[in-house]
Amino acid sequence: MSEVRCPMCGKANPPETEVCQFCQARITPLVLNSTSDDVPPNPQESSVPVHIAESEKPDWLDDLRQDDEAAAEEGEESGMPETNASDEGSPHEEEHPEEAGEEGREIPDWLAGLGAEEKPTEPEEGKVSGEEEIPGWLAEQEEPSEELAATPQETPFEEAALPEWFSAQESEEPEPEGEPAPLPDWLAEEEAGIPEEAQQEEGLPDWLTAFTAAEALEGVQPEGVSPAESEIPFLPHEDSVEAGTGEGIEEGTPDWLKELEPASLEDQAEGVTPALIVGALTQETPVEEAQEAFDIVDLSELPDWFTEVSAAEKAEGAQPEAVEEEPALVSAELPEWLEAMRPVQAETLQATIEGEELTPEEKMGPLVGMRGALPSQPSAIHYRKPPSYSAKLQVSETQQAHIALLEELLSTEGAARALPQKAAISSRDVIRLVIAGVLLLTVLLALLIAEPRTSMPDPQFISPEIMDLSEIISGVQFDAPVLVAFDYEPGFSGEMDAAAGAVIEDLVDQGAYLTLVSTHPSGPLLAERAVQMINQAQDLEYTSYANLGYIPGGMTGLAAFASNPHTASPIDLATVSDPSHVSGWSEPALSGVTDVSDFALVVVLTEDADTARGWIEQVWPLLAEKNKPLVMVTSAQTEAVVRPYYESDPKQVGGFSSGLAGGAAYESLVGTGGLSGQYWDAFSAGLLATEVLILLGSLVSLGVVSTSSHKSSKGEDVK
Amino acid sequence: MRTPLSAAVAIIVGLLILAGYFFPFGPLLSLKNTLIQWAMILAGFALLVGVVNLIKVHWIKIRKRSPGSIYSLILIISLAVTIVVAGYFGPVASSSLWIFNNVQVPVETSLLALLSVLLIYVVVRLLRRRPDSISILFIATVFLVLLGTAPLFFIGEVRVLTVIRNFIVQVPAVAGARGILLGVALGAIATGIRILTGADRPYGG
Repeated sequence: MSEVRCPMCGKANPPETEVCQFCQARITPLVLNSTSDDVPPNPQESSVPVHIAESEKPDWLDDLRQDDEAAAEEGEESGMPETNASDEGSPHEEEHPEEAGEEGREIPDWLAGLGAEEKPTEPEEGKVSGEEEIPGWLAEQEEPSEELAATPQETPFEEAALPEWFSAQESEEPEPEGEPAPLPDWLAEEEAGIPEEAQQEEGLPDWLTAFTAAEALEGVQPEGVSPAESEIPFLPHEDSVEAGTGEGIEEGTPDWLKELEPASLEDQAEGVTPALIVGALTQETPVEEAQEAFDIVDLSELPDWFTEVSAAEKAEGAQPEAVEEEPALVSAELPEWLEAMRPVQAETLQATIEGEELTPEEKMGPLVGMRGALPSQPSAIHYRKPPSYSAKLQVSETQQAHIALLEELLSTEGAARALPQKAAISSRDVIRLVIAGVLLLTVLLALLIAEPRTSMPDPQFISPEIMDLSEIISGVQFDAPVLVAFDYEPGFSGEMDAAAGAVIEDLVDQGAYLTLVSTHPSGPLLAERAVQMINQAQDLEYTSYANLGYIPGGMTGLAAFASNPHTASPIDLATVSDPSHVSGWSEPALSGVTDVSDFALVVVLTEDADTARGWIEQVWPLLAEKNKPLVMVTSAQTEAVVRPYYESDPKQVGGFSSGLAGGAAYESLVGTGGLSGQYWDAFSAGLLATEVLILLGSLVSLGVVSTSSHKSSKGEDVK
Repeated sequence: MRTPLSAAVAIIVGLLILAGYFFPFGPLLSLKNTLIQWAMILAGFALLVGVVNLIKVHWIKIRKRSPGSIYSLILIISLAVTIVVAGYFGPVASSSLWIFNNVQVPVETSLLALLSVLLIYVVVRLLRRRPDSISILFIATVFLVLLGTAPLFFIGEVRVLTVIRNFIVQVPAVAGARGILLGVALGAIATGIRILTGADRPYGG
C-alpha cells in the first residue's frame, strides 16, 4: 500500500507524512532505531504497529477498517491514481462517490456525517491564496513540501532539490550489489502496488534513503520550527495550512467551533490569519514583526464578542493612566530617633545603586533584559577598595543624657552596697523579751505567794488511768521487786520529777524494792537524784533499791534485759563507788528474778513516745505471761501516744499519769504532798499568762494583717 | 565485709531471732537471747567509740584553732573532769551527782524553758505570717487545751474547759496517734522484710 494509516485514528495518510493529517498524531517516530538504518524507509513499516494495534481494537472498528482497506484495494485494482495528498483522507470516497455512498449505508451515522464534512474545499485555490501572502523566503522553504503534497506517490525528492555536494556523492555511490533479501508474501503483495518511482527509491542505500526521507520531512517544516513545536495540537499543521484546504482544522474542529469561526477560516484561506500563525511558529521573527503581523489583522472582521472584549480591555487599560495622574506620595517624616539611626553615608550607597543602572542591558541570551548581570569589562579594571560605611550615629543631647544615665546605673549595679544597719534590738527581740518577762514574773509571783491560790484537782473528777495507776501501786506488796525505768532526759526533769515524785514516794511508802534502770546514759543519775529527793523530802534514808545503771542498745537492750536482767545489767552502781555495798542482785528481793516478768511491777518514766513504745513492745509480752502490770508516768506530750495502749484490751499499759497535772491529780488522789502541789500555783499562773499572751498576740496580729490588707486594697483602688 | 558474706550473716541472724520469737523454746530461745546480748554489748561499745570520736573531733578543732575552738576546749575539759570524777568516785557518788544536778540538769532545763518562750512567740506571730483558717483552728485548739489543763489562777477549775480539753486530747489526738502507730508498725514490718530478704542492707555489703 502507498498510504500509511494513523495508529491513533486509523485513517490513511501519505507515506511521507510525519504527522497524521486528521488527528495530528505522530506517525513516524522521532528517533530511528538501529534497525531502521538497515531497513529502507518503507512506508509499509509504519503500518506494522498499526496492525498490531488493530488486534487490540474492538471488532466494530476492525470491521470498519477492513471495509476501508477493501475499498482501497478495489481502487488500486481499478488503476485509479491518487493525485493529491489532500485526497488521501478519503480517497475512495472522493473518487468513487457512489461506492462511498454505498459504504456509507453500512457505517454508523456519525461516521457518515464525518465523511460528508470531509469533502475537499478546493485545495488548489487555497494553495494559491496561501502562496500569495507568504513571504518569499518562506515560500522557498516550503517548495519541497508543496511538491511532496502535490505528488505524494512520486519520488519524494528530486535530484535538483538535493544539494550539489550530495548529488555528487550520490552519483559516485555504487549501486547496491546483490539481490535484496526476499520479502515475505504479504510484503511482496504490497510491493507490487508501489509505484515505480518508489521502487527506484528503494534502490538507494539504506542510510541515504533514511537521510533523504528525513531531509524531506525537515523541508516540510519552516526553519526555526522544532519538531516538538510542529506537534502542538492546537495549531494546525503547516501542510494543511499551506494547502489552504483547512482539513486539518476542519477535521479536528468540532461543529460549534466551525460555526463560531467562519470568518477566521475565510481569512485563513485568504492568507491573512496564517501570517499570524506563521509568525508564531517562526520564532526567528522579531517581536516587532510579530506585532506588525498582529496589527495587520483587520479587527473589523473579528466577531462581535471579540470586539466587545477588546473594547473592555481598552477601557481597563485607560485606568492606569488615571492612576498615574494622582499626586505622588509624600515622603513620610521619620521620627527623631529613627532619623538619628539613619546611616550618614546612605546617600553614597544610593548613588552606587543608581550607578548600576548605567550598565549595559543584555540583549540576547537567557539574561536578556537584565542589567549588570555580566561585566562588560574585566573585573580587574573595575576593582577598587570597597567603601567603608561608618556606623556613626547621630545622637541628640537627650539621647546622650539617657546614655549617661544608663551607664551610671550599670556602673552602680556591680558595686557592693552597704548593708543596712541592723538595729541592736529588733521588734522580734522585744516581743520575745516581753513574753519571757511576763512568764517569769508570773511564775515568780505565784511561787512567792505563800498560800496556794489554785485548788488541786478534785479527786472525784480524776481520770480513770490515774485511778488505775494508783490502784496498781497500792497493790504492790512489801519488799516486792519493782522495776522503775528512768527514761527521760534531764531537761524534762522539772516536769517528770514532779509528775513521778508522788508515784515513787508511794512505792517507797509501800516498801517495794526498787530496781532502777534506764536506756538513757543520764538515766542512772536521774534515778539516783530522784531517790535523794525523796529522802530529802521525807527525811528518810531509803537504801533498799538497786541502781542497775544504763541499758545500752535501745530496744535491743530492752529485749535483752527483759529476757535476762541479770545478764544485761549485772552491776549495781552503788558497788562501784562503795565496794562494801552489797549488790542488789544479792538482795532477797531480786534473788528470784530471772526475767522481767519476775518483777511485781514495771514503772516506766519517760517523756519520749518511742521509748514508751519500746517498753510496751519488748517488755509487756513477757509481763503478760505472768499477768504483771506495766504502768507509766509520762510527759504531757506523750499522753496521746500512750493512751491507745491503755485503752487496748487487754490493757498493755495498766495505768498512767501524764504531766504535772497528772502528778497533781495523783497527789490529790493519794493525799500526799509533793512537787506537783508546790508547782501547782506557778503552773496555773504560767498557763494563764501563756493564754493571755497568745490571745493578745493573735488579736494584734489579726489587726496588723487586716490593716495591711486594707491598705493594699485601698492602694489598688487608688491606682 | 562488703561482700555477700555480711548480707548472709545479717539475714541468717535475723531469721534466727525471728524464729526465736515464734518458737520460744529450746536452742532457738537460747540462741536468740545470746545474739541479743551480743547486740547490746556492741551497742555499749559503740557508745564508747562515739565518746572517743567526740574527743578526736574537738581535739582537731583545737589544734587547728578553728572558729569556736574555745567551746571544744571547754567540752574536752568538762568531759575529762567528769570522767575523772565519775571514774574515781563512782558514777553515782555524791561528787558525780553534784556535777549532774548543778550542771547538766539546769542547762538542759533552761533550754526547754527557752523553748516555751519560743513556742509562745511563734503562736503569736502565726496569724501575721499565715492568716488563714488552719492557723486560727490551731490557735483555738492550743488555747482550749491550755485552759483545760489546769485550774485557772485565782479562779479555780472550770469543768467545761476540762471536759473540752479531755475530749480534744483523748479523741482527736489519740486518733492521730493511732494512725501514727499503725504506720510505724507497718513500716517496721516492711523494713524487717527488706532486711531479711537482703533488699535493704544498712550494714553495707
